[in-house]
Amino acid sequence: MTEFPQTRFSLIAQVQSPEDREAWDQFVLIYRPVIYRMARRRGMQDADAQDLVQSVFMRVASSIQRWEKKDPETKFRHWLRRIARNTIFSALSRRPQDTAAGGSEILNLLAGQPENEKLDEQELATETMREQYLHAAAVVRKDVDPDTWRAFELTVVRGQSCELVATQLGKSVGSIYAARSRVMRRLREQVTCLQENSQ
Amino acid sequence: MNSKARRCDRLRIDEFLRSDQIHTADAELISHLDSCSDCRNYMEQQAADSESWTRAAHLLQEREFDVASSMEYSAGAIDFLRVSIPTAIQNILESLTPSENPQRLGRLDGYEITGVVGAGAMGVVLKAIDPALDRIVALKVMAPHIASHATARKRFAREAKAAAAVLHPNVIPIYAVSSGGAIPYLVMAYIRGGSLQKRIDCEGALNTGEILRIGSQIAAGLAAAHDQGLVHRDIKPENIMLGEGVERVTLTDFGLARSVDDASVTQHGTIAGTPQYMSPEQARGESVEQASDLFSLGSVLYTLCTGRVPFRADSSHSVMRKIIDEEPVPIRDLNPEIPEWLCDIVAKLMAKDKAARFTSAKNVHALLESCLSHVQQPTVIKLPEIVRELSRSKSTSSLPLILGVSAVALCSILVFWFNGMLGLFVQEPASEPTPQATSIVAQETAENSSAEAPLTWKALTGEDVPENYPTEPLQAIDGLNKSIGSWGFSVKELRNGKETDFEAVMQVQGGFSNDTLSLGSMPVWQISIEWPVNQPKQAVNFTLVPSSKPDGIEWLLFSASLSDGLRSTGAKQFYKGAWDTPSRTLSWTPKQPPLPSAASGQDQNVAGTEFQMIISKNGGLNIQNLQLNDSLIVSGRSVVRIGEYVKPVTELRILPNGYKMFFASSREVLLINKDNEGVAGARVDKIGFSENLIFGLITDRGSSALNSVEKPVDTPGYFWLDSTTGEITKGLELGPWQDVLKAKGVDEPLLLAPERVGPRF
Repeated sequence: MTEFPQTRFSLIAQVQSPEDREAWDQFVLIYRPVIYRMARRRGMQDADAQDLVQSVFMRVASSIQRWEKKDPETKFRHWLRRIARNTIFSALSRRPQDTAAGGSEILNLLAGQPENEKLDEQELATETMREQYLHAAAVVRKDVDPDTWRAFELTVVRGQSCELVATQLGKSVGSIYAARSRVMRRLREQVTCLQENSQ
Repeated sequence: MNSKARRCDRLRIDEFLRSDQIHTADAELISHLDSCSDCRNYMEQQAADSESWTRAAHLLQEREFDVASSMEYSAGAIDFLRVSIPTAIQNILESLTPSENPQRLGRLDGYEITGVVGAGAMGVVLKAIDPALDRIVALKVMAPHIASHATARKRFAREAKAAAAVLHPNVIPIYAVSSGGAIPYLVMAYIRGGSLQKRIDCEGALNTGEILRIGSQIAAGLAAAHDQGLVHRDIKPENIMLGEGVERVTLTDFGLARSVDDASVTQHGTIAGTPQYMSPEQARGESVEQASDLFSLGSVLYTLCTGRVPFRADSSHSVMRKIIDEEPVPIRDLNPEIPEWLCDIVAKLMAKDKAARFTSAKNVHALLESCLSHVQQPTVIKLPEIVRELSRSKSTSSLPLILGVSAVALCSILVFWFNGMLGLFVQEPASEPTPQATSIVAQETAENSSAEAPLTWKALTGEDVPENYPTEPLQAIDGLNKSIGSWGFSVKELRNGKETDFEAVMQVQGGFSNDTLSLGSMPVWQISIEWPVNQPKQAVNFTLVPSSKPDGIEWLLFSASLSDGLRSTGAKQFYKGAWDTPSRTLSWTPKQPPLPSAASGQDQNVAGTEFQMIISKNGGLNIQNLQLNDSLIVSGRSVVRIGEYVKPVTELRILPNGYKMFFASSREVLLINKDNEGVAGARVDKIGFSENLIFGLITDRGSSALNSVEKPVDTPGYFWLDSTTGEITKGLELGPWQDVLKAKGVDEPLLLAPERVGPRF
């Protein structure tokens, strides 16, 4: 789905099992926007944040060889997640000198402080979960008819009352409750599925 | 009602939720749910645990950076958020009167709304029943937030007038207009079927017969519009409807149409809609004539022949440059089945020089008709003589195609760009402006500026050149070349041109050719250009800023970035020479009449007639001559130095207490006091103010980048600044934001929405 030329076609070609390849694809899908947003939130401009995302994936991908040799016991996706976590934090705290004009000041500060690492950890977890929800929502949305989705979106995401939405959509209140519960159930299933694959 | 529906049946709920068929309806259960809150609760608990519900509500909200400049970086968010029902539709549906019939979405005046056909930039098209005549109509409804703008209303009314004046089978009939009410709308025929765009999306290239049939009908519709003195200006496949089951093509969306003699409405060169089908003269911001529609028709035919648009690039800006400079890939390279003569017709329609196109839409219609007859009966009917002449004359004249960027074209791009900047000053004047003052067509601006006296530093700033301004631009070039050596080209020279102080000449070596680039003579203080490099689609973008030397302006390289056609693959910034200087003064004198002051706290894009901004080395900002309560959106190309960052400036806001808030791209805000001193800086999530207080909410770290101002606020939590004493109090407690404000005695603080504080790029 998301293309990532160099890594996908050369380094990742080394990953033999189809299951592991799928794990890599999932990983790129979820983590790419996560890293991008974390970088942007730290004040990086668009191009810099994109560079950083790229460098994280390059570094993770180049470690794959090591994994296959040393770590036959660990599951690929578990390994991937751990290595990604470390790479992301080190990339965020140690921006390459040549990527941009400045910002070392703030990042040096961040690098030295352990409590910030805890916050980073939390942010990474929240962002990852958020991306999983967004993906799941995109999948569920395609499955259900537009009104069912709207019932869910308006009442749950936008926080409008079921009564109001029922009038707006010309439906009964009961059908709004029914629709949003069904969507929620699907959404939860999708999220669980994504989490099992990436954790 | 069935008595069963009134009983609680938990098993039935479980089954309902488990059902794979999500569309299965259980009418009894649903009607039971109408009144039984126990069952609702049970159902919601069974669907998901309460944590999942909360997470869904929280995590699915749109956030900053979700829609980034490059789509692939936010795949999940794009899939989910982008396709979610646009707010415009929702706003309109919410403003409808409820209908008595529950099957309907609502009511607008007499019309019963039955569905949403589509949504565009200006509003929404609804499907409706006209009960008086019992027919299905389409209502084009203006989005409420747009309806509040006088100019937009005018444009809407103009569309109605323009389209209603044309009575022709290939032009959409307008039945009625309502422009006086809260929601302006126009009533059109409802066309069952899809747009030509939809057809291209499904089928790709069409066959020659279909192309001629559709083309001749578009030409016929255009001819009818042109007869009324109208120029459509936005001919593109989305605006061409194909009736379902009938072979009729209907031209719609006269939103941009205007009569040739109506000069009062176009204000600035900002581009509306996609530029893909624009004519070169449109892309240059020149006056648009009927011949422009013919070019667009040619582009549509090209798309029908090949299945793809003639000019493709990632940004509107690059598309326009290609329209001006380049010839599209020959049609037969992409689709050999298209006959040579049809390619010739398309080429003539798409001639860069409008005089070289066909003389009228009427002629094009007649021509395509006879070509169609020929295709249908090739042995009986010959190709028209004109077409045969076209292919004969082609061999004698070949277009000189200059690779790279011609100076003329570049100038026009810059004009556009500059004008976009000016556009910020002319948005939505509320009073009736004089035609002379508002017709800021791009070209005129260029003429005005080049006609002025030589633009030296003094002329620009009104000041003598500061002593320690850098005078050695070549140093910057050396530095640049050192770091971009691997990109496959280098900058040889950057100097002033001969014509005016603002003309710069840049010599680039490498890429497709060694070439000298004239940067034109625009009084912009930052110029961005693109330069093709070695591989297809690869281009480098330079940004230049003028610096000064004792006798005029010197250009400095500000940054360079390399892109592979999709996204930036490298970026270098070389601003130091320009920005380590003690201060830098720029002043603009917009040529527009003064605009009315905004009411306190309202954000309007209002500027005084003149203002001056001084960014000094310590990060302080000095703004003079801005009116109190004015809020001004500064061009996104303006930059401010914050700590070590150079940030695009996004907004400047003048508060009732005389303080100024100055926003940069990543939610940084600088607070400037009445004496124009920088007093505080923070990266904020929310900010609000009352008469004497400014509140900020910081949930993020990273504000230490702002410590070049006197009092950086860098701890997560709240802070408030008392503007009478200038005192800043930091509150670390992270309670609900509103409670803190209430405790301070403020009822309704103005909170900036996230997109206000942190715009997307």
